[in-house]
Amino acid sequence: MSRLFNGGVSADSITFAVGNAPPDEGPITMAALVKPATATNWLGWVMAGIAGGANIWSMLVFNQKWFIERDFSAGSGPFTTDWYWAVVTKASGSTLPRWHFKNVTTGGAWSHTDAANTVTDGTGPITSLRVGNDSAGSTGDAWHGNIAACATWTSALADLAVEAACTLAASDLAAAAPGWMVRLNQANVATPVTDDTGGGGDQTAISGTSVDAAEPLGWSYALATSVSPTGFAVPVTFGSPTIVTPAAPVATVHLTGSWNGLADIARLNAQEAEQERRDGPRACPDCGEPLVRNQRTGVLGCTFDGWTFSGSTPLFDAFSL
Amino acid sequence: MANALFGPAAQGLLTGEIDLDTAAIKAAFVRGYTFVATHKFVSDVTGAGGVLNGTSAALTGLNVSTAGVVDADDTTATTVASAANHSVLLFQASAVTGGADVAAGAQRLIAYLDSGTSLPIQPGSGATAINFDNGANKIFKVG
Repeated sequence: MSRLFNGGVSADSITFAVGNAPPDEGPITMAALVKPATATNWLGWVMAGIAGGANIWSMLVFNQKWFIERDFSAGSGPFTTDWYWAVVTKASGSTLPRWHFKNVTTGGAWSHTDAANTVTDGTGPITSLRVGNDSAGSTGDAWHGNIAACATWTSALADLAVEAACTLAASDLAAAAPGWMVRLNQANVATPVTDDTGGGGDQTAISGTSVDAAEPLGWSYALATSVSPTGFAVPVTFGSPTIVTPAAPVATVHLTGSWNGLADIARLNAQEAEQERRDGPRACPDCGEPLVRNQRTGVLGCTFDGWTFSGSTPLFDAFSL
Repeated sequence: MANALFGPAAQGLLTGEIDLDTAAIKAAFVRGYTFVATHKFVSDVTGAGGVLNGTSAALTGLNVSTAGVVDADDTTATTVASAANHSVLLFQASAVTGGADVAAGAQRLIAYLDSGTSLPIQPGSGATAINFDNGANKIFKVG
């Protein structure tokens, strides 16, 4: 997917805020991944930095040659209907622009060539930036063909830096830290184009353009090929339980050896003494043999050693009366 | 918003309707969706305008530690290039006992991840990696 500019038929363009784009034409790097609609003679701007209704910096095609603003040479570069990177760098002052081209459709090698004539910086700073047209914004100045991505730097990148930035991955372009960068992969022209650098050079106006299915073979618009979600914690919160105790203990069992345990023993001894006083002894105090009551005399005695109980047994005595 | 657990996911984890180390848990990139804490099924997400763009295989190495930390091996999902922002959806793709994927109307949502490195993402075409956090909370931690 890319954006199609129908230059020569309509005055298509997208206008952006300046953001951190270069204020003038030096030092500067302009890069665009483009596909011209036809390899014929026409005039069309890929991008332009504008101030006071004039182009301060720009990249354009005229009669199948590439130029930057105020370049009055015979032009530079190859011109085909393939997808290719067109990049131009220029140092500050009146210096030679340097053109860098790579055909990404055929996978050819990079070319790095100085332009024939020196070019001045122009008088900035720019107040707006336009893709697909220049300050005039006319049908005759509009780009003929597709644009996938554009970027600018406020420095003149070295040849190898250009090659590292302009690959088949938009993430490489972003990693090269341009001052302004846009990807034209929106599925609808109503979706505003935003500056991928976060520098604020976002779309402010649009005229025409259309979404086109064409895009460079192998090109990835993704700014990243992986994500790393941040781990998070889910707090556990608790209610406050209420414990209800019984109204009275069902039973109390005291531990042996405790003061309460000793009191239990004393109570048991008293009960046994009371029982013996009432009923008489149950066993012979000499040998432990159970006592047997003589049926005739009513006296308790031991059948083993002859011991007899001489005391009274109130309960028995009461029933014997 | 920050990464979050869906409300019914907490319920499902506690009642056994979601079983992280038995069921097939998957991650998917989703766009066009705004997190709703009460959503329960993947169909709730798609019904609210969410579009799934690339779903991983069942996560491997899924582990719940004694400290309540949930972790899994990093994974990938095959995405189609899109200029829209995508987040990551974590969901139980199968029945609670595992097996084949069930219908979206029965796939339990677990977590919505929209914060982290390169999130949200405008994915390209091809494999997009999801590398889970190696910090203390891993994917998420309960308690």
